[in-house]
This record gives sequence, C-alpha cells and structure tokens, in this order.
Amino acid sequence: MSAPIVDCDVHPLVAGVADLLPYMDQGWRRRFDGRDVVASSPFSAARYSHPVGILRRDAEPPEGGAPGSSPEHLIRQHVEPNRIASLVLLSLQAGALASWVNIDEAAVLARAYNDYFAAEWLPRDPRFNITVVVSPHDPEAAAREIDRWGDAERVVGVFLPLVDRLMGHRFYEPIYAAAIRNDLPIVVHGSGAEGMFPGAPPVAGGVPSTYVERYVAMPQIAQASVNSLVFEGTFERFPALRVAFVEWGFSWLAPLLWRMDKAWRGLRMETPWVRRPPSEYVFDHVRFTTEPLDEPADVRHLHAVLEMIEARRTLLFSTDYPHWDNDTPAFVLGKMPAGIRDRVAGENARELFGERLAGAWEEVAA
Amino acid sequence: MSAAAGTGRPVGRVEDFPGGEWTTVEVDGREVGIFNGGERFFAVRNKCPHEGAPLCVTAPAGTMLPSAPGRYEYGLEGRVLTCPWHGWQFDLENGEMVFGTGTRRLTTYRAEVRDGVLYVGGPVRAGATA
Repeated sequence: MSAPIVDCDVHPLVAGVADLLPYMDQGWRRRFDGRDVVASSPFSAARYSHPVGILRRDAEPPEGGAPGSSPEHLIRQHVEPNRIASLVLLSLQAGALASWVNIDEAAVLARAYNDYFAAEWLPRDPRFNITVVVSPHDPEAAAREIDRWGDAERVVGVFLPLVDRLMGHRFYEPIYAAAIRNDLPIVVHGSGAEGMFPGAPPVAGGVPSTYVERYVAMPQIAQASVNSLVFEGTFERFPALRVAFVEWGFSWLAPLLWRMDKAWRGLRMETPWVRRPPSEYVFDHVRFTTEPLDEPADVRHLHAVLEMIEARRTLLFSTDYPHWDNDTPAFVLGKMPAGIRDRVAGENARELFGERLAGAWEEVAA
Repeated sequence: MSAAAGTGRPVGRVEDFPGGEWTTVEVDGREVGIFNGGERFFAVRNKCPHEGAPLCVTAPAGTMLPSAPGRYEYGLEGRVLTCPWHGWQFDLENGEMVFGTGTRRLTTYRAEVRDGVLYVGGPVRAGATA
C-alpha cells in the first residue's frame, strides 16, 4: 500500500452543549444553556436501538469521555497505527439536526457545530479536514452558512442531512448552488433520523421493526436519491455539482444503473432533459465510500462489482471510526485489486476534495 | 479447559488477575486475554479473526438463543464474547462463532491453576474437546 490513505468518514464527538455555547451569540446561549441538545440522539428508545451500542467500546479514550471525543486518542488509536495521511471529520451529532423541529434553532446549532470543529479540532492536527453541516430545513439559511466557509482551508465538503424529499427535488437547489459557488462537494451521510418519524427519509416499503432490518435497508435512501438526481435533471441544472454518498454502501450500484439506463432508453420522452445515459451522470458526478464493506465469501465477486461500478474513479476509502461497523485500511484495501488500490485508498478522494484537502502526503510517501 | 499435567507456561499468580476483568499477557509473541470468571479462567487471543479488533474489552456475557419469532430467550450466560466492532459473538468454550453465524474461529487457550499459579497452554485446535 503505497498511496497515501484518505479516510473519508471519521466521526468526532462534542462532549456537551457547553462546548458549543461559545459559538453562539448571547441570546442563543441563554436559549440552549443546560439543554441536552448535543447528547440527545435521534435514536428513540422506541425505535432502532443497537443491541450492543453504536460506538466502539474499545475506542473510549483512557483520559475519559466517549469514543470520538478526544482528538489525541483518535490520532493514537486510529490515525497513526493505520497510517492515515488525511481524514475528513463529519459530525453525526450535527447530522441529528435533520430531526429538529425548530428551523431557527437548527440553523444556529449548525453554525455552532461548524465553528466549534473549525476552531477546536482543525488546529489539533494537520491531517484533519472537516465537512460543514447545514440544516436541511431552511435551504436559504443553509446557503448562507455555506458561503461563510468559501475560503476556509481544510473545509472540504457540505454535509447535508436529508429530509423526506429526494435529492433531485428543487427544494435543495439553493444548497447546491451555494456548494458550487464555493467549490465544495455535497456530502450525504445518514443522520440517524432516517425512518424515525414523519419528515425524515423513510426506508422503502414500510417501517422496519429492528435495528438490523433498518441497517440493511438504509442504502435504499441513497438509491432513491441517485435515481432522483439523474431523472430530475439536477446534474443538467448544476453541471458542476459533485455528490459523495458516504456510508451507504456501493455493491447495489450496478443493478440500479442498469435499470436506470434501460428505463431511460424507453422512457426518455418523459425526462428529455436527461441527455445522456444515466450511468454516465453518476460516474461523472457521484462518489461512494467503501464502508461498510459488503463481504461476499468469494472475493472475485467483490472484484466483479468493483469493475461494474467503475470503482477506479467512483469509490473512496472510509473507516467510519469509531463506530461499531468500522473497517480498517488493511482489511478493505487488501481486498481491492492492485490496479485500483491506490485510486480507492486516496487518489479518488484527492480528486473529489481537491487542493483544500490537507494531509501528510510526503511523510507517507517516504 | 484443563491443561495436561505439567503443560502450559506460567503467566502469573492467580491474584494478578482481578475477578470479573480481562488481563492481557503475552504468549509466544501474541497478546492473550485472561478473564478471571471466579470459578474458572478463560484465555483467548486478543484479536478478532475478522478485522483484528481487540476483543478483550467487555466481560463475557450471554446471548439470545435461537428462538421462535417474537420471543427472546437469553442463554449461554458468561461464555459469550462479543467483538466491540462488528458484534461477532464467540463461544468461549470452543472459540466458534455462536449458532452458525460464521465459520471464523477465535483462538482459545487452555488455562489452568496449579499451586496458585495460572498456566496457559498452546492454542486449542478446532474440533478438539475442551
């Protein structure tokens, strides 16, 4: 493994709302002080509780706190031993804004999370990069938030937690426009709210009753939005739009694209703005991450899938540290065919995130 | 899980292994977790055969037994080790994944107390009776 590894999915944790208060103005500080808005999870006890817990128990920092709350422990336990050259931090606590009912509060919290991670985490290590979260409830406010970060170094993407509108819906367009004018890709990651309540993206067909059912069904949300982005003509409206689907899997992509391409041939008249085969838009504009890696018993089956989805340009390495289903570089990259290993390990990510993505490139190459 | 008389290597005195906790020792260059369960000791390699996670993080517990739809029956109390990463569960009696959930096997070792000293034997081979 020679190419520098870029980990596109690492989850830092805010210890409590007190950490965010310095990044709010005085009135909002009073409004949030003492409210458990950070620890509160969209995972309702009545819905999908993980049988063991979603955080790795072995990732608790020895100095105290929850997994992901200590930058030093993240470096010690993950970055150094796994020789991660660069990583992208994405706050799932911030993603929980998808389940917020008050749109003004959601906007203030999004801003506070972004300021917090930029001020408190980025200076801790030159390999750290962040995505800035936006509230999906108010696209105009989200666009203003994106504009605040247009010139910021090591801000590499816009984390968009989804609501129950498919991504091709024009509701999101102010967010896409802002991302493009600031040269940032849209990063879509589960928020934890999916399938939890009306207003969150539902999984297909009905309501699963267990964590495992919902977990298996989660990629349906990404599938639906890939489909929507293409047939709504979003990439025609926004030719510079780039979207990364993080932690939704990828092994499902090939049959989806076959179906889209075939359906387009016969039904093109309905969406004449789709000028090219749908798969071409996806290969040009959309990226996916490795984790959680599906594990067919025969690795040749995985290799066949990788070829079908043009993984040499569409697939980005990710670990999902410190979550229970995380994957290591040795495990994932060891399964990649030699011809695309470097692409998946880091080159595709560097193409997507561009010059803003910082990393210890030289050290690793040495 | 008793070592044949005189076999195994000493890894410490019994009192070096607090009850209800994992203690790790090195055996032949490999990290082995020792769990003092009070009446017996378990010794396993501290590395999950899946992605290499450290396994000796939580105490052995039980698991849900295969049951009729809609019913939960908890069993195998005290002999199931759950990986902190992907949740794979291993039966400490034989290192096998529980209830046919997979074919990978956790390396287990014979552990025996003689004269107040804990001895750890070589890895138990698949199919061997404990």
